[in-house]
Amino acid sequence: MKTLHVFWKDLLILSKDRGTYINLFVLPLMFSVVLTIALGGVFGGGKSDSPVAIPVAASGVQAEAVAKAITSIPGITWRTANPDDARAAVDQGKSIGAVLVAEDGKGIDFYEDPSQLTNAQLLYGQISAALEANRAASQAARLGQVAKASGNPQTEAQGASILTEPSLRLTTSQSGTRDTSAQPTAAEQYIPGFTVAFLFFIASTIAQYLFMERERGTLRRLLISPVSRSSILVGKLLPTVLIGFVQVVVIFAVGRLAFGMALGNPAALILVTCAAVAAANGFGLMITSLSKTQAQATGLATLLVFTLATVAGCYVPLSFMPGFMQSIALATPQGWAMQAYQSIIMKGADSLEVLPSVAVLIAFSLVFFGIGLVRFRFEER
Amino acid sequence: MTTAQEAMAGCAASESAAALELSGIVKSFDHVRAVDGTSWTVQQGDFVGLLGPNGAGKTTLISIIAGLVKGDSGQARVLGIDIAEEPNRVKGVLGVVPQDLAIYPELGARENLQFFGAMYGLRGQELKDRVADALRRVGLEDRAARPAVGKFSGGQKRRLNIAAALLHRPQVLILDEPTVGIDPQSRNYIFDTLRELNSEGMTIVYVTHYMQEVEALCRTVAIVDHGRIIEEGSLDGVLARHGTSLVRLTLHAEEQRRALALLEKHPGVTYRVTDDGVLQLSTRVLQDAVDLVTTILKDIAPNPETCQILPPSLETVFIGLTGNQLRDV
Repeated sequence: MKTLHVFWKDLLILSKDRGTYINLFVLPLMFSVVLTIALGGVFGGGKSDSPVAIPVAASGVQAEAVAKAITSIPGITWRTANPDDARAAVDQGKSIGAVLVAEDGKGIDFYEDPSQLTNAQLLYGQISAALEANRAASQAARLGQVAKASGNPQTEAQGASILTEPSLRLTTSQSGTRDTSAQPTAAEQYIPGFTVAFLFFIASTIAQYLFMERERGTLRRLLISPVSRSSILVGKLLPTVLIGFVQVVVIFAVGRLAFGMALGNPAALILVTCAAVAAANGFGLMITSLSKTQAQATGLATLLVFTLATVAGCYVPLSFMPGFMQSIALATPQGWAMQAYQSIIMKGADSLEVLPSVAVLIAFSLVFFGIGLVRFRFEER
Repeated sequence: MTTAQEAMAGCAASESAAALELSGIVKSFDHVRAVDGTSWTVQQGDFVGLLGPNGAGKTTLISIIAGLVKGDSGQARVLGIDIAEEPNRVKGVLGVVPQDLAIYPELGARENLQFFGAMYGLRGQELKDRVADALRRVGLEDRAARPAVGKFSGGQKRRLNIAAALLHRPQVLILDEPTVGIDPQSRNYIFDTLRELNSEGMTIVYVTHYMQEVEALCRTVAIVDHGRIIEEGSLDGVLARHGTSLVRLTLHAEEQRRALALLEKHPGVTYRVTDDGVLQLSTRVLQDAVDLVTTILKDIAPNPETCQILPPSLETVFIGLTGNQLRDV
């Protein structure tokens, strides 16, 4: 009962703080709405069917010539492989495309991962240009050889055959195992992205209110009264837990109503939100307990929240990031929350399918709360 | 059983016990001994002033009594209840007014008191009655409905700070510097409130370094310095035992050397040079002090940096006992 009184008192104080509304509701709504409108189809998610291909593997009799052309493009990692391995790499999402050179050397197929669009489109043009440049250079070299051998009766015929030689034919094909819906629309990226980012921004509010209670001396006064420390702490965290749920409801509702974003399975959504809110509150308590002053806690929370949200793919789809960055995202609670929310709203995942993400988020919560409870000091010495 | 009921049960069981009983309390922080073997007894119904400079150990002592800090050794009891063994029973009979304004400026006076009352297990009509009574005692009934106490005057906030400690009707009330930075009207209101509470049987421990307040309010006094109670007793008794007149002179080095040489020729005079370089003379008779300073001014130092002649008071008792003035005065 005393816990509820602490909760109600803090809720009253929070409700009178305009900064809370701005930081936790206005900012994420503003960012998610503006960026969704501004960057509409930039991620290529949804129904886009633009052809793409990014070569990373090559095989066939002209593999050497093709590889030479590809290596002239900076920033591409490539290797040779047999056609089956090359296709498998794309099917499994390990490569975003493969270049398959036909055994007769007359055709090149770009076997693509359709879930990777924008990067592929940029490189597609470069690859085509590189192949064309490579062909032109080869023709020039061979014509030079013909010129040296002038007088030979066969020279004219050889020169004519070089100039009329057809260029390599570029075709594209797509992996059947890769889902085009794996790429989010702007709403599917920014609505959950800013929800998750600002869900964890509650850490700053938690630190602010815990330090304020301590610095005012009211925490000391509470400790003098017959109320347990756990009641005080739980009562003080309950308002921010409630705020977390309201944040998700408000921002997702705007996503649904303004941008037609699918909400997916409600039970799965609630499950992930519970776990994410718990992790965010644990994170807030941990940051508070590791800081000596409110300013330090707020600074640390802001730094970590925005850094981790960026790494976790809250602002830019993970598929746009290098492989090692995608691995780092899984070391953050925001990354797991993001992955779970996107699988619900983009792929219609149910409660069972998000359980692994929920379990990881709960594990993060336990670690954060554990550190927070051990380190938190009710009184300054 | 609610906390308030537990508290009442606790009182009934301890009517004959001392209000406060400390025995050999020791507490150190990082090898610094904040409380150094303090033993102290306060009788029920007493109004006692606890005097001491900052850093003397007052706050640590209060924290131990309030159950916020555990002593390294020793025993503390409130109305016969051991603080270490039954902290919640002690909290039910003890009220503490912290030096900080430990109230929520965003909330109204009534909202603040209802919240703190709820922390003592008070509910419903009883809570409303206690809040109304506490507001009446500190003269804030007309402010009860105001939306936020952040806009109250300093004195009104101080009074609300006291009211928040009265809601559970404690038997023992400890006030830590309750009049810091307030106007005379609020100070007088607080004094009247405390006298009224004491006349109703509440034991009051008034912690301060304003000696005039102790002289105006308290019947007994305890002086604490360096973590120890160095003197205690009735106000009159302490003044009779240690009440000396003091002369405090700040002289240039050469003048001080000559003054000390002169004083060596007067074996009946007690004198010392304090930590802050002040030559301090103490005599039982004020006239002797005046004669001495006249001699020094006439023969040695006609223009001293400072010259004070203090008649017997708590301040001279404190200076006489510790060699220093209260450091924040």
